[in-house]
Amino acid sequence: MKRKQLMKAAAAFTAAAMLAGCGRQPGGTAEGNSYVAPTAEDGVVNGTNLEGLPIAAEPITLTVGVSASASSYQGEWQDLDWVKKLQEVSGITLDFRVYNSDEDKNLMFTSRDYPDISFNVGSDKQIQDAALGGDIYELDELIETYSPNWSSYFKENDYARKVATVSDGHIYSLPIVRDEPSNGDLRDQWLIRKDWLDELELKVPETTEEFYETLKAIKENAGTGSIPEDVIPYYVYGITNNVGGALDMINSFGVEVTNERYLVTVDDNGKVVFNFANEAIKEPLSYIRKLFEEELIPGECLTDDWDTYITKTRSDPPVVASFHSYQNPDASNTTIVAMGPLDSGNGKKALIRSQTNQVLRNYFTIYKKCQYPEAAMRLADLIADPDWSVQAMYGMFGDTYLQKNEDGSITMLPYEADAQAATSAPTNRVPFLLKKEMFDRFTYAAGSAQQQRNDAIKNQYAEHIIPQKNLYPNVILTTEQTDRLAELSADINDYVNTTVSTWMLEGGIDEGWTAYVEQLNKLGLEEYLSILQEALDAFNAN
Amino acid sequence: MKEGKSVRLPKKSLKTRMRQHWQLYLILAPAVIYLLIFNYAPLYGLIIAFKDYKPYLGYLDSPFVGFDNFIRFFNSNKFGQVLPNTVILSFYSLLASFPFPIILALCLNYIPSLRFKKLVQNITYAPYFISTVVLVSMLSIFFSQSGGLVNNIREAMGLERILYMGNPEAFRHMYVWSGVWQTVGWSSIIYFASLANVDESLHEAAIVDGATILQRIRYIDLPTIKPVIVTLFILNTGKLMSIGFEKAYLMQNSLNMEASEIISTYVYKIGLLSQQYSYSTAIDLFNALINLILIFSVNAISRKLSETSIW
Repeated sequence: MKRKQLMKAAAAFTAAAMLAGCGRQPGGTAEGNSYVAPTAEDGVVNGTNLEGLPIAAEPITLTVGVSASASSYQGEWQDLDWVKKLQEVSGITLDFRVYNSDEDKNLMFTSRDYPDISFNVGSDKQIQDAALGGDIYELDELIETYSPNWSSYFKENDYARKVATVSDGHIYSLPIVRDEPSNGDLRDQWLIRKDWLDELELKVPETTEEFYETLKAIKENAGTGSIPEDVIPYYVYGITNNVGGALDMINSFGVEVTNERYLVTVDDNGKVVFNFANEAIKEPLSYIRKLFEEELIPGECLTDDWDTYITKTRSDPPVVASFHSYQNPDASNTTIVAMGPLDSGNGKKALIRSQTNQVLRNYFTIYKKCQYPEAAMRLADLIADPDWSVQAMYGMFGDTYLQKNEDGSITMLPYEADAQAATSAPTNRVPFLLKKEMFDRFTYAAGSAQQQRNDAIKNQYAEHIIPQKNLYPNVILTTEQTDRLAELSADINDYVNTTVSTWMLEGGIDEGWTAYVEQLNKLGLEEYLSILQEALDAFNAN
Repeated sequence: MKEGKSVRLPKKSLKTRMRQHWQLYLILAPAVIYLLIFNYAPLYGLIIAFKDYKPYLGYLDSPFVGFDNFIRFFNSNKFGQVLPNTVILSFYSLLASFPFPIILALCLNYIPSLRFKKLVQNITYAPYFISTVVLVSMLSIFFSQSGGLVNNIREAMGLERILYMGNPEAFRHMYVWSGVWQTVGWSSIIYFASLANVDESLHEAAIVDGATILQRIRYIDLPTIKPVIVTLFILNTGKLMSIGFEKAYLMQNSLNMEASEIISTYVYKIGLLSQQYSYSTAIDLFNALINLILIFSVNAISRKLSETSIW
């Protein structure tokens, strides 16, 4: 009797489990990912005009997966002028599905509850898994047939093609391309308060020794003139952070370090280099340790979070004398000026970081459930048009953001620097295509962040920028490599961060060095570098 | 021991019992259904801990890998760090945060002024409603090296300023004691309520016999609320290993990493941020197993020692 009841309970339990598990389609890869073009009739294929605008020959609605706004001042997707205009011109209605967090995106990919297309959603691993599941279109054929902008770009720019191509040789997602010198040629500007230097009758430091003396002078004069009592002579947002960190201080000593990915660089022979395990880094680290020891850098900045970094470096009245930042908070470029990189006197050339974010993958994906892949690809082609692309980044043509001149050149109009095209443009969240040529005929507004960076590059940094070939490119990894690297880099980067930060507070670089390198090897540095090397070689051979 | 025959009722089948007392079963039904659907049914997802889960293959069709995910965790470099960190932080939290609500409730119980009692209660349980993010910001402000309250006091006493947020030794104390501060009032409510059930005549008799307040607490209050204390202790042990990841994650930085990296923060980083679902499920399952063992042992110990247990 009892057993029977148990069986019944078990049956009910199983039924409940099945119910809970529904909504998950069985994985079928029968049709694969390839696109087969239907036959066109009168220049119309599948409700899509083959040429000209509007794109839609009949009312088409596409659901679009997007990430939420990164900042609070950016408007909702459907309220952006650029988006409204795009829908009007293309005849395609865009129905946005906003994914607010990584968890939301994970859930979308694991439940396979996809939109028709997505913009900036999906990691390499997710896209590759979706491709294996037959859930997304292979774009090669679609690009060739419906997107002259992208197909010609991939032909003329081999690097972009490599970045976009997955290891099986196909393209599953379009990238975003922002080949803008004022963005990519430099990571952080190294900034210093000129007004304080003037008060102390000091010039902008050019060597590490002068920098040290300058910081000391600022500290000694705390509370005099406009220098506040609680002045922070030099602020670094952690040591190895890509933004605001002390990496360019290390680069000043000619030891190349970057942290866009994995803390590695590439030497002139194409070999992956991990300079954090290189004896040569002891010199810059000891120098920074000296600044910490004499409280020219507060120890606190090693524990601060992003918001604190922003608050401290942009406070009013100011408290920080020198720091690293993408943008100079002083639009006039007079009270705060660009400095560095510093001559260390060790005979090596001082360097400063550039970036490899000109081409980033996974910005446009078409899912198999989309009924109008042709229309979707033509929409991507429209976005890749130079005019649409530049408006996506900097705001609409007109009298507020951008002005299109008769000779085809574009002028950025002055506006509130911080509210950069906030209600008008989606900025770098859509698959736009901004080639270098665009910026030959583009004039920035005076005082805009990009103009400042252009000036800083031209006047200060041009000679010192780490060339692109020495940066680890945006390679594509296999799923296995991704998993292994995630674990190794968590181990290795955490260890490097903890150790280096502790050295900064307590010293002991020379004594601890051997043990540190040994521990790095124990954590699998060799395997880590060999995976990165393998991926880089595959990328270059692609 | 032989069962007394007198009270033994003839055994009825479940069906008969259900028919006779259907009203009771009806009232029970929502809770049982809720548990089945939301707590038991999702358990089948745990099978991905033993598989190499691929979203496109689904739970059932992903390749079976046995204990590979577990072995990978045990062999990983972080294992030796996150497991002790989790255990130490959990036990420290439990032991430090357990007595205070009881002490607070006992103290409040002897305050004659009702208004003052209410006031103290409100003040002590207000921090419970502060969100973790805000709490961690408060910690970093109070303990800031440059302008924090704590360091200002230290300086006034002639001591050096300490970078608390970047100190691995300080991490656990800050984590635990801020937790005590936050939950003490809230957790005392249940003790406070059970103290109200203490028979007033016992107290009156004790007062007549000349017992001090401490004696009254020891011989009247504590024995009365002992079952509540033991039950709550066992229940808290059950939550021991599942310490939330938010607070540790928010307080974490490169300097205190050696103490602040716990299982849940590691799972978040490796599992959710780099989409290794099987691996993170395996780690969490392992975590839950330890927890289960703990709660069983504590329950058994308490049954032996105090004859009070949950089951």
